[in-house]
Parts: sequence; structure tokens; C-alpha cells
Amino acid sequence: MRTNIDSVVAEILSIVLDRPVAPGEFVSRAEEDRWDSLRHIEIVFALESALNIELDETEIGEVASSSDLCSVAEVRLAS
Amino acid sequence: MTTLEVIEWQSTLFSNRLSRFEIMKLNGRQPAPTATVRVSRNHGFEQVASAIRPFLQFAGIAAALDIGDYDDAFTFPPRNADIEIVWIDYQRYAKLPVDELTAWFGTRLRALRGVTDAPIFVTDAPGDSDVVRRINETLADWIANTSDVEAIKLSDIATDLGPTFFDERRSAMTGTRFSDAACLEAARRLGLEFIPAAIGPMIKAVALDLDNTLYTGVLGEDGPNGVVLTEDHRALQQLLIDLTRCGIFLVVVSRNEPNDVAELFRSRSDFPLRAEMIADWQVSWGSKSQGILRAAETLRIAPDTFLFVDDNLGELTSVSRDLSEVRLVFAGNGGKETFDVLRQYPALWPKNISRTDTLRIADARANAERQELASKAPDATSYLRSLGVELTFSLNPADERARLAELAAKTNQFNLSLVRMSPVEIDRYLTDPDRRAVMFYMRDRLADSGSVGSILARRDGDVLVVDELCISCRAMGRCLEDIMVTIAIVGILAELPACSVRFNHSVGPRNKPARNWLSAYTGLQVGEESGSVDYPWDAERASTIIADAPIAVSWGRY
Repeated sequence: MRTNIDSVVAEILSIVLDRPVAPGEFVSRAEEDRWDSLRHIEIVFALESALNIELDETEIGEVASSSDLCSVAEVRLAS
Repeated sequence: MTTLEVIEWQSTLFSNRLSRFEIMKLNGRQPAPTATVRVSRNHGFEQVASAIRPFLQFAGIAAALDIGDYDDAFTFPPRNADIEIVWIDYQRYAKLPVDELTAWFGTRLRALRGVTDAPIFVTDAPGDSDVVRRINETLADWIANTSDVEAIKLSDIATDLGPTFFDERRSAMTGTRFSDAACLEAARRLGLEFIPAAIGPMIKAVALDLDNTLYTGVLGEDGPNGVVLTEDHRALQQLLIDLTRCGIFLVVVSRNEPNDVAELFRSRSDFPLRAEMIADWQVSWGSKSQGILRAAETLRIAPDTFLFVDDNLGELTSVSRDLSEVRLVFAGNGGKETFDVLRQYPALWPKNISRTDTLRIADARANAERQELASKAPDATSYLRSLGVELTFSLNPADERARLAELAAKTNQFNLSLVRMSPVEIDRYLTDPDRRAVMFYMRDRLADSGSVGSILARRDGDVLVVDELCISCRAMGRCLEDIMVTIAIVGILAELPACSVRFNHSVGPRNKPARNWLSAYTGLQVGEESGSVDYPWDAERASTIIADAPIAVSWGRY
């Protein structure tokens, strides 16, 4: 399951950040100029539609990296 | 777009429930924008904007979005845009009494119409409260009385999505109360429906395969009574009938025996689609590209106005290779997917349906008989007499504003200036005392063609300037151009006297027939560059043209 989540997160980040992102690669929101607040929402909504999950507002606000995205998705899929 | 891309994009963009992840994965070539879409808003539009590109790309539209700052006052600063979108959440004015809100918003919309001739799309109010109903009634009333304005019916999307239309919890993050599902659906409506219809060009004909497209089965193997009309195919055929009511030609392009196809449509009384609804038949074992080309010639329309529907990848690829300008639909999934795609296909459903649209198919079917008469007639005069042509001219037909705009937008071969005036610009010809619009209507003993041409002219000193002259290709080939133009100009000169007539002309890819006509009519050189021709008006010659015309002529409402 984690492999699939890694792939989905990598694909979304590649598209939104407009650069190649490998599955499992650590990408920090703080270090990506393109990862602004608008794209953050786009990333979250894309993740939700890809995995058919829903994040709560706190989770959306706290996500700060590709790793956070994978972790929160994994928790949601397991619940 | 390759055939495989068409299939991939089609299944994502026309899906019943849109997925942001699937949409964002569609990544095609992005040509430089040729149109600007200005968005005036008081809440978040970014979720719509980030999803709209693939829809526009599928529609063949390259548009730049110019999204304004949040502005509850809707001040509409001066701007140049090809399309205006007003993205408003009326809930933000909840403290205002509804009468004050609608009156105020009416003044803002009128202000916008005053500073731009571009089409305006305004969101209505989603929901079902009394306040929402009154806002939407006021909006509908304003739209009915204003040129080139349309409502983006978020209320329809809200009905479809139910409670998931709103997502109040995330509004602080997204800047809008609308959910992602609502924003994706709005992006689809704007990208497939509103913007393509405003920018054009529109599709004029749908070329249809038969086997496993209009029914399940293979006619040559299963026989006329063996092929199966599923409920999805029945709905699809009904949708195609709706298209004919909008004036869209249906053409059957099928690899089958012509007798089998004729028997199929004769014997299957359960088929909603009847033979008389088909404008042209291209049933043979030859290439479908050639069939489309022959149909285009018969219907006098350009191949690039065709949409080709087939379940066979090879046929789609072959047509795409031979006629790259023809748009494609993959007829998959037993009729359901074809229905979903055609229902929302860009530039297929006209915004306004005129009486002429409903006459178009019968008129096209009469062309074969007209051609036979022409081949037997000793000369053009005898031919016209045998047809029993009647022309009616209408001066400033205010109720035909939309049809005047449609003629300007759609005619290519006989469009002299290619100005393609918007409904707002056309309004000026209908209301300004120094301008006139004339619409021509035609019927003969075989069919009623409806409105087939128009002239928009204005007086400039002692010159009558013809800014736009359009004649539908359906009326061409009957040697009536001189008569139509002469009668229309005589009618205008009676109200706006002038010594000469200036014809503005532009060089376009297909309007050589109009330019050749101008040269022959005036006897003046029409160069290979855009410009104008000043023709000293010869009243005596005009009288002779009219008197010698072997047709019936009248002025008035049609």
C-alpha cells in the first residue's frame, strides 16, 4: 500500500511542482518555491481524489512535505 | 491530438464524476494563447482555474485567464478581454436586503456591458432558498434583455451534486464555499461549453459509424433484425435527434452494403433515429475520410466542421491521419460513453437555436433535386423559374439579433469582410439611425431555407459603407447573389441615401467566392490584400437586376 501512496504522491508533486519527483523522494514544502498555499490546496485535493480519502483541516494545515502527505494518506486509508 | 490521446482524455474529461488527480495528469501541448478570459470575482476561482486547462485543450482552445483581485464591489476596471466571467458568491451580501442586492448587482452588470462588447458569463446562485430564487429570477430577466450574456448555472451543478456542492469547512483555505467537486464541474462547463461556444468555430455535422456505435452488433453478420438497440443506444439516438433540431447535420459514414443499411432503417421501427433525419449517406466499402469529404461537398460545409464518431480505433486513426482537422469521438462502452461525450462535446450545441436551424436538414436534402433541375435547365433563368424561388428581405429585424451574429460567425465562403461582429456590435446596426441591418430569407418549391444572408451597413457622408456581407453556403450556386445584394442595398439606400457604396473586404482562407463576386459585381479590381472598393451606385442597373430576376421578392417580417 505504501508503495502505491509513494507513487501517487510523487506523481502529484511532479505535476504541480513541474519537476521530476521520484517515489519516496523527500520534498519539503519550505524548500519549494512553487509549493505555495494555492498549490498546497491543489496537491491535497489531488491526493484526496486519487486515493478516495478526505483529510481534515488540521491535517491539511500541518502537511509540510512529501513524507507528511504519504503518512497522512496511509493513516486515512487504514482507518 | 492522437487517437489514443482522444480516448484517454475523453474518458477523464467526460466522466460522470470528475477526479482532480486524473485531470491534472492530462498534459498535452499548450499552444500560445489566442484569447483572453477575464475573471472578475469576489471569492476563490483558483480551484476552477487550475483544472480548466485540459478541458480547453480538448476543445482546441488556447486561452489565457486574467483573474482579478477579490472585489466585492465589482468595479470592473477598463479592460480588453475576449470573454468576461463574473464569478460571484451572492452569500457574501447576506446582510443586504435581496431587493437592494439585485438592484445593485443589476447596475454593476450594466456597467460591465457598457465597457465591453465581449460575451459575459455570470454565475447564478446555487441553492433553493427564496433569496436564491429571487436572485436567479432577476439575473434571468437581465440576461433575456441584454446582448451576449449567459448564466453559468451553478444552481444546476448544485442540484446534481447535492450537499457536496458546498464545502464550508475549507472555505478559509480555498477562498470559496464551493467544494472541489463543484469547482471541477464549473471548470468543465466553462472549458467545454461556454468558452468554446463563444470563441468557435462550431461543429456543423456529425459523421456516424453504425455497427457498435448506434447499436450493438454488426449489420452484415447479424442482419437488420439481429442488431440490438440497448437503452443506452436508444438514449444516444435520441440525443442525435436533439442535435438535428439544433441544425446539426447527421451523416452516416459506414462500411456496409447500402441495401442492408436502407433495410435497417426501414425495418427497425424501434430506432428513434429515422432515415429522413440523416442529411447524407456515405455507405460504401471505401475510406471513411473520402466519405466525409464527399458529405462535406454535398452539404457545402468544410471538413473541419465535422465530428466523426466511431468505435473502431483504426477508422478513427485513419480519418485523423487523412483529415487532421476533423474532430474525433471514440464510441466506447455500449453507447453510454458516446452519449456522455456528445452531450457535453465542445462547440457542438449552439447557444441559440433559430427557426433556420430547424429547416436546415430538409433544405440540404432538397439539394440533390436542385442539382438535377440545374443540370436539365437550359440556362440560369430557366433554372430559377423552375425552382420557384421567393426572397424576403427584412430591415432591422431586432428579433433576429442572434441569427445575424450566427451568420457573421459561421459563414466563410461568402463573407466579404470577415469582421464577425458580436451581438453587441450588431445591436448598434439595429438601433443607430445612421446604420441598418438587412436579413435575407429564401424559400423555393422544394424547401424553406430560412435566413440565408445579411448586410450590415452604415452611412458615412454620401457613402454607404457595407461593413459586413454574408451569404450562407446553402444559398450559393443559385446565381442569386447579385439579386440579394442589390435588393438589400436599394432598401437601405431608400432610408440612408448615398451616391456610392463602399464594400469592405478582407482576405481569408476560404472567402475567395465572396471576393470574386465583388470583383464581378462592381467591375472593379479587388486585390489580393484586404481593403475596400468604392462602387458608384448605378440605380438604373440595380433596377434592371431586380426587374429581370425570375423570382418573387417581398419586404417584411418572415
